[in-house]
Amino acid sequence: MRVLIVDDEPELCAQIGQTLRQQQYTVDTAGDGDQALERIFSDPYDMIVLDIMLPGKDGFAVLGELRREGVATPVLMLTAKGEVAHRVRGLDLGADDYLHKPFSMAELLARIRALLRRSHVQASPLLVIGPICLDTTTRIVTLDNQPIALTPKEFSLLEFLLYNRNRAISRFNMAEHVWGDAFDPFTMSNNIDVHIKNLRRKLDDQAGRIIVTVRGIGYMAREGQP
Amino acid sequence: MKIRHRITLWVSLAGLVSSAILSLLVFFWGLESPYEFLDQELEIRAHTLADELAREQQQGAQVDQVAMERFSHLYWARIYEGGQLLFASKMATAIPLPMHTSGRGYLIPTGIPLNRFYAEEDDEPAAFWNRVFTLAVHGRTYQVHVARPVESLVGESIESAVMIGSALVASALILIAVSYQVAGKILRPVQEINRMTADINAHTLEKRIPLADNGDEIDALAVTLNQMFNRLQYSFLRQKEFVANASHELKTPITLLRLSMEETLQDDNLPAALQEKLLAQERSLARISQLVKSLLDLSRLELTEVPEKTTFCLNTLIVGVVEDFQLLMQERQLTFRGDLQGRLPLYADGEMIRRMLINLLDNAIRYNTPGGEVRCRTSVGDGALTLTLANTGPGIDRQDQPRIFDQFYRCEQSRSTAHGGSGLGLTIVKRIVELHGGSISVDSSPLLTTLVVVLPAPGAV
Repeated sequence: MRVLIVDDEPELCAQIGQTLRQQQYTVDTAGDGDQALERIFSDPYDMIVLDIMLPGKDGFAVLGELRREGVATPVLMLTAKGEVAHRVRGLDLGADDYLHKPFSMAELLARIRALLRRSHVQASPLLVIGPICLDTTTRIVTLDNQPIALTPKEFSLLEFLLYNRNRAISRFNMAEHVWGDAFDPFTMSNNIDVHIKNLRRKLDDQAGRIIVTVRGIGYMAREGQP
Repeated sequence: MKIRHRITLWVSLAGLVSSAILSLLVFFWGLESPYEFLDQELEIRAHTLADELAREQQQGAQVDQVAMERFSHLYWARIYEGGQLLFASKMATAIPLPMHTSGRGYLIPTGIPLNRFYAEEDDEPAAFWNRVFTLAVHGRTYQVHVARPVESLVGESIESAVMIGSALVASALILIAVSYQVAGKILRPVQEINRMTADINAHTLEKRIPLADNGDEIDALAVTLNQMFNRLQYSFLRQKEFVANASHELKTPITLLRLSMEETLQDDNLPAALQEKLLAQERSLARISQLVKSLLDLSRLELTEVPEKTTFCLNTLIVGVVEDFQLLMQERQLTFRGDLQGRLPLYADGEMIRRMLINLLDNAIRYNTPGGEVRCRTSVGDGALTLTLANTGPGIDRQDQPRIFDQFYRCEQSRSTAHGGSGLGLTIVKRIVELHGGSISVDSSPLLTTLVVVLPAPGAV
């Protein structure tokens, strides 16, 4: 899976790049709009992470140009300005998703996976871990092929953990993802343990073998546990 | 004292003083001038009599009383030569008048009615205006004492003094009335400016004072004030933009820090002590991140002037938001008591109202005591929707209550960071309520804190 990261902050590119490489992605970076377009038109990417604020051509210009040229690669836009107008403009120009700074790596990974899946690069909409199978299109979760009923919050939490499998996710990050921007993640992270408890009960994982407690940090969906 | 009263006072006072001075001058001139004429008249008469007497004496004849009487008809006259009386007019023989030799005219009042001398006059007591001349005619020196009965000018002058006085009073009244009116007229634009200026506040800085365009001083004042408002509006905007830009600039470095910390924490081989420190740092960073987000949200709200309104049911929205907090409330052993009856349409920005409800509920849960309650009630009436949200808890001191909507304000008992929160939650709520033309108030007792939000009901604009 090949991903291009376009941001004028080299450290940010490096940071995201490093994590994505650990997750078995192939990563290139570009520091400005022209460099980004050059790379996009010369190499086939599966995914572009594009910052709006760029020196020279900004993110909107880059997006507009590559969509005009018929490049259908999914684009995740990074923005510090969460303005509705910005979001609408980006989506009109053909952006596939949006992420505002400051974001967490877990959120970024979840969005990238969701986008890749949607764009049929990763054909399967199923996230499987042990006996649990989560279908991201039908939003049905099965345990040993038996459907189980989850609340929307529990579903969202499980999906997030599965997108970030084998990574320790903090309660704060989970709260941010599940409840969104309007809620205070500090308040809502108090809630996470209750949701995890309910989730483990429904998934018959009271021992925490699939959803593992990571001491001090939070939780992790771990694969390949006996 | 009001300027209007001051102007009235000064104008009336100045007018009164100048007219009083003028009337005094007229009064005294009126008092003096008749005697000047009399003086001239008596002088001529004295000369005539002296000339006649000298002529008669030259001819060696006796003084012709009849001829002299002709010349002194209606006058009081005595002529002496060397202390000897040569002639006395009829009037002078009947009425004694003392002789002053000072040379100036003098007045001697008598009790004789004036109509004894002048038939057409009334019977007020007459006075005599006297003059004494020493005249040298054809080598002879006469002392001529002439006088004329005149009406008493004392009564006359009292009369004119009363007249002038009442005229002064009348003109003072007119002056006061006119200057009061004029001052009011002059000051009316000032009042208008005052009213308009009072209307302009931090959220209505785009308003300006209407100009009369007549170029007078008050118009100039309005122009200057408007220019000041321009500068104020500009710096307000700059300040708001600064907050927005600053929080925006902070986002990239915070993202960087967050990502790198998250990655470091993924390392299984991290020593426990280091992991603990990193976790504490990550929490602080998350707090900064939240704060920056809230700041940006607030400055965005500050820069927003018109919310994007749609019609939705407030009760449905509340139920949805409460649902998100349900588990949290369970964990804190809080009971939610809702009185949310029927459909309650609200015409407002749904996202903003949702944010408002989230912040309010967050607060109601945060500052609650275990086993407590959160009560929510909505009602409609008098063109307004009322949302009442109450929570049990330690309450807010009376002096703190008006300040809880201030930025970063936290009451003493909630100051500890254990409660969390950015200190901007209620500021954001207040701004949202203001943007919708509503109002918010707080009432707190040691056991219960109640926040009341009033929003205009749809169709009641």
